[in-house]
Amino acid sequence: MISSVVRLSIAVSIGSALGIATGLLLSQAPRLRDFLNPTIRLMAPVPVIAWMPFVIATVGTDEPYKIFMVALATFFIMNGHAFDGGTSVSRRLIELALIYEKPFHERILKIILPAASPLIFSGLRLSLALAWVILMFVEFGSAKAGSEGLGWFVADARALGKVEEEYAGVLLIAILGLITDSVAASMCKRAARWSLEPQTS
Amino acid sequence: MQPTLLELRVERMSYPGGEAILQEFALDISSGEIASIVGASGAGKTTLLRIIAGLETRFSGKVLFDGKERKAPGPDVQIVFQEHRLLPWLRVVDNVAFALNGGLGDEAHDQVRNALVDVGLGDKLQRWPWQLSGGEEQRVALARTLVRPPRLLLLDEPLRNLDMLSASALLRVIERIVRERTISVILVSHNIEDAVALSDSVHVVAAHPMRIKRTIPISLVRPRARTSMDFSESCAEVVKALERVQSEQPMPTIPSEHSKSNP
Repeated sequence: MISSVVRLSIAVSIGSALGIATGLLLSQAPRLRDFLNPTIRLMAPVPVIAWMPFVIATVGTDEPYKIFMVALATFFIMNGHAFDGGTSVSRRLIELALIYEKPFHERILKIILPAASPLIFSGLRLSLALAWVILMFVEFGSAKAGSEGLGWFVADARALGKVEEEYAGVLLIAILGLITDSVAASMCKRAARWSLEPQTS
Repeated sequence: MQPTLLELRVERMSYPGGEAILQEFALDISSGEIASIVGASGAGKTTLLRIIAGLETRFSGKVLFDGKERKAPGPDVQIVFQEHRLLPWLRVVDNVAFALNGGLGDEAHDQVRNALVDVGLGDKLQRWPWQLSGGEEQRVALARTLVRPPRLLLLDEPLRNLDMLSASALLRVIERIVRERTISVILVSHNIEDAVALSDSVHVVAAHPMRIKRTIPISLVRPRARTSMDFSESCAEVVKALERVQSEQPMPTIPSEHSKSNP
């Protein structure tokens, strides 16, 4: 169980960090966007599982493969959400950065990132859900003696006909999924507390 | 005679596919001068301020600031927009500090606090923008421009969301600060009294394209009492000029129901 959670954390962190950084950057750099965005938009809808043969041929079926697959799935979701969040920031707020001569990185960190954060966090919840699915899939697929992880645990229990263990594994996955989603949801709420206007008039 | 701070010469400015908003438009502002621009809605007053601030570059002509051509926005010319443009994810104190560069150290914090005290919000440093009234939001926006005083302050209907008494109180704050620090001001307002209360001169403009039809110098002694006879006379003079300009404008053509239904 621990190894699954560690894998998920590492992969989602890497995928999100890269996805958010590139998404926000592309949203504010028109030339770079024209150059790179068509490729990213073309690759994003490809199911991550379709990359599997290429990834295995490149890095094998060990730890890097599992992390890469999950990070890849996370990357495209986060990139899309960060990009949409970044491009929808009002021109009016960007003009403030121009008047006060904020350098590019400060414009991204002080205006674009906070403005895009609600969309980024909803992307994170989506990413986590998909990350669990992909993680279980790769752990199933690479199951061999000595492997660790919940996916392997469930696959192994099924192969040996240990029904109780199989379902216990599935239940554990469900609980862990619920926990990670709740954590992401509360982070989302905290990051957007500035927008929590009272609904009552 | 104060040296000229701003020399604006716009040959032509129009949005793509539209008619000219500004054509052969010239405006000079000297150092420490407070000027107002009054005219009909949609005349292009906001566009004019955006050109001066460096936010609008789709025009032919030039903006000379201190004798040098000004091509990009910067903190030496700041603007209080019609809408407050506070960053909703920053508390009041951090919104004002946004105008400063570098961290919020003790000195910067004092500057921010003083700017907020100046506009009467010394007790609301830790509020979120959504916790403020429309008038308070506008005052925070004003504090943001005063914390790092510009050479030229552009005010685009800054008192629109305020009741009459708060508006005249805030106008006195603006007057005191800009005169203390020799900041030049261009005020765009629909409120003639506000324009007369603050300005050294009022420019009455006509629209399509926008041009200055009349400049009325206001030489009343400061501070100006709105209840005085001289004040009322100055206001009346501006209103008359405005009415004359409006009457000379071609009426906008609106097709009537009758002409639409006839073949």
